Amino acid sequence: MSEMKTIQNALLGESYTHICHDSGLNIYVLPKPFSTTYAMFGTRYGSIDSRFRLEGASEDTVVPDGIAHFLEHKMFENENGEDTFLRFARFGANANAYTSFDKTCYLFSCTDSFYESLEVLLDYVTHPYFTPQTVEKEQGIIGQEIRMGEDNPHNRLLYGMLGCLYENNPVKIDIAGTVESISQITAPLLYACYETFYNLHNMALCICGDVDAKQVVAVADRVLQKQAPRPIVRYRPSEAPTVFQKRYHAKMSVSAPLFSIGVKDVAISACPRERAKKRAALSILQNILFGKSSSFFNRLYESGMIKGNLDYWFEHNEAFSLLSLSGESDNPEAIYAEFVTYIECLKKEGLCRQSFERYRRVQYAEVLDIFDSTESVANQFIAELFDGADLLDSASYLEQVTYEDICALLNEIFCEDAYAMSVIEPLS
Amino acid sequence: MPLSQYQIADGIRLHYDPADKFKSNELTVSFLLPLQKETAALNSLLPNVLTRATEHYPTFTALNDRTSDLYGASISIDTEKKGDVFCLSISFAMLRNELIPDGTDVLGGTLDLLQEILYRPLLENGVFSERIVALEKENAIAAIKSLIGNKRAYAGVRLIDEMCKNERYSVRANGTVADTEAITPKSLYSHYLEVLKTAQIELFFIGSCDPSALADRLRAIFAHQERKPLPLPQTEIIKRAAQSKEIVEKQSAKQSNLVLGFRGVPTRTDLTRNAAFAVFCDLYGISPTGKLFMNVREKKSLCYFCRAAARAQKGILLVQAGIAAKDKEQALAEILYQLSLCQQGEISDEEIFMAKREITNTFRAIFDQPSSLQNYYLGTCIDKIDYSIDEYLTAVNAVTKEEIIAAANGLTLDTVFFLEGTEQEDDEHV
Repeated sequence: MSEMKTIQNALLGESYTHICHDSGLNIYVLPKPFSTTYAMFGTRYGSIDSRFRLEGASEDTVVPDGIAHFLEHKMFENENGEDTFLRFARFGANANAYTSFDKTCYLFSCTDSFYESLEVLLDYVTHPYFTPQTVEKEQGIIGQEIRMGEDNPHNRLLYGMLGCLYENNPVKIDIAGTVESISQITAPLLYACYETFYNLHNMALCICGDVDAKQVVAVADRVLQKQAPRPIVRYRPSEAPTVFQKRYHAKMSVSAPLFSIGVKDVAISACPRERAKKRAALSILQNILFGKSSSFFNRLYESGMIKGNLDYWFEHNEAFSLLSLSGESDNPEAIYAEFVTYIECLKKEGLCRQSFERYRRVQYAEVLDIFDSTESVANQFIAELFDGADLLDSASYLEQVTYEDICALLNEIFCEDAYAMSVIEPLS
Repeated sequence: MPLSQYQIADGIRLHYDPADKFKSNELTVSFLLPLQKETAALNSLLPNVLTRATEHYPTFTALNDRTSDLYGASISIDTEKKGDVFCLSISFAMLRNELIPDGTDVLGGTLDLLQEILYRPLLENGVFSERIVALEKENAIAAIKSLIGNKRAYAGVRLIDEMCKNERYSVRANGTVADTEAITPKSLYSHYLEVLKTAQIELFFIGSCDPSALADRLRAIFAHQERKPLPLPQTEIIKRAAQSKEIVEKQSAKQSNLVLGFRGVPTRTDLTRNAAFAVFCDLYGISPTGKLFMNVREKKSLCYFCRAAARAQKGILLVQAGIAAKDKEQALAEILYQLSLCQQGEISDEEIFMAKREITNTFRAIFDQPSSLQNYYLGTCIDKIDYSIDEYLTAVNAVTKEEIIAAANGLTLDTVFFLEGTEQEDDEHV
């Protein structure tokens, strides 16, 4: 009998039902009176799982780059030859999937016939079918996807920056791999990855919309077979706190140079709560440092050193942690120098307390904003879940962050040894 | 969810949608203007200058501090062309007052900001700040030039350049480098005063508030505005291509982009024909169960991306695919072959059924995001549509196979644009 419990967060005014399904799958239903219902069936398996220990093996298996993404594409193939998109389209659902660094997600959205589409989702993802013929066919399609990515300067910029930061961490490997690496993929390898990572205990189903948890359980009862948990030994290589190399340069068909400064952070707590709290703190800190009100951005803008906006983001999870800022500039090195000086000055002067309170408000609004879309709820919920946290605690963590916390982070993370920059320049 | 309209001033309307399921409110002011070469660069630059600084918030920092204090209220701008109409929009997204812990009147504060931005821009010697205009011009020029970094977007724009060479629609929404360079603080300010006087102005509020009070507040904001609104241009529509032409351009890239431009898309005012075209377009080139995806991509493995996009305001259809250069003839042939199948009626009942369901799904989902609602309403203003989404979906579900065949046969190929990527497969630039 599946166990059901409801979790609520008064601060946000949101709740969800958590079901420990008999099969071993954890299911989460977040109610929302929207037209669109969004369902996401994800596995904790992404491009960073390029090396792992198969059960009973004495050595690690190293898989070709891009295999998690390749597997995602092939998941849509059914043994009876029926196209998965057709199965969804019959019920009017809009289906898709994506592979990221640390997860692969299969999803659909619909405005009716939800339970029928849910059955399709659970069925096709739990029935893999890979043959040499279907693998070969996909190499052409993904080959073009890779080419598209190779022509995208922002994509090259990102991986150039990651390659600077990391020596060993597989986050620097292109999620899609290369045309060469995917030519090494075989059906047996796909099955090995599937058997290892697509165990229900390593997965989660998250649904956001106007649905009934009991009916969701009924669908799961019909489709899912019970599975015993399977230990996964993941390869998580160690990394020095300093960057692997300081610069990456490439020339592409662009009109002006693009830059991306990366800041490496290896201080990753083993405790999911601590990581969630650090994410809350980082979300405030990055806005103070690089946001539109910041002296850094305004100096770059007023001097013409940057063209357009300064984009910035961070990632902090069990596998990797970094911040990045990027944009377009005729003189990336000048921006880098400006950045170094700016941080050093800030560390001496200290951060503005008023800014801290101000951005805490802004982040609170951003958290509430997530709940205005069934798609963003499902995506963010799975992202937090797969790092051992609960999306509903986000606002609470923001409340707990102190001014001292973010000052400490500034001093801990921002050291010049941890900075690197990738640059894409126009063809001369 | 009834949408209600309030007259604010001559040629200025408020559209209020009481969507109370969101935690946010969204307020947008859209200026509708004719698409013209002489004014495109000015129109495109304008919102960037207006949202950079104002009289009371004379620096970008001060303005952003103000929006942050309003619990992260955000200002976004958008400029685009819909047919021969130029749309210039400034949007404010804010948390609803009921959700603000300390009772700050975010809505009131945001409306004050709207008034500030529109009517108290930062001026020097009676015109826009020279420094701000100079910086924004540089940003705008950089943005125009950066198009070549996005091959798919570049190829799509080049197709329009060539296909609509002698039509107004070829004017690029963000203007040209030369036209942008020629802008002065004085010319931009004069143009702004003209925009305030002559543009059709549509205001959209999606969220929860007292609409009468909102309308009154907006009337107060526009109370002293002299108004001589000009009618919007009728978009020039060419129904059939006399003959087709092909243009090839080479660029350094690993992948090539093939774009086909067709004439013959019905306008949205013709409900029945537009609904039929939508069903055709979905089953031909949008759905992952559609003919292009299933054949050009899945069966022939020629591409990852192959999709159709209709521009109903202009009456044209674009089909675009990212392919290897060597596969150009094969991809082109397959795209046209799949179209001919539709024209000959090689369409199953199941394909039609799935397309109708997919369109229904897409349109119902519009109600789930304030920005998609606002964009939809803006489209109805420009296209002068008087039917509701429900009426549209009823028409979609009533579409017959014959009507779909007619929609497919209404298309004629006008232009093929091929952006040939010249890099060899193994080229590496380091």
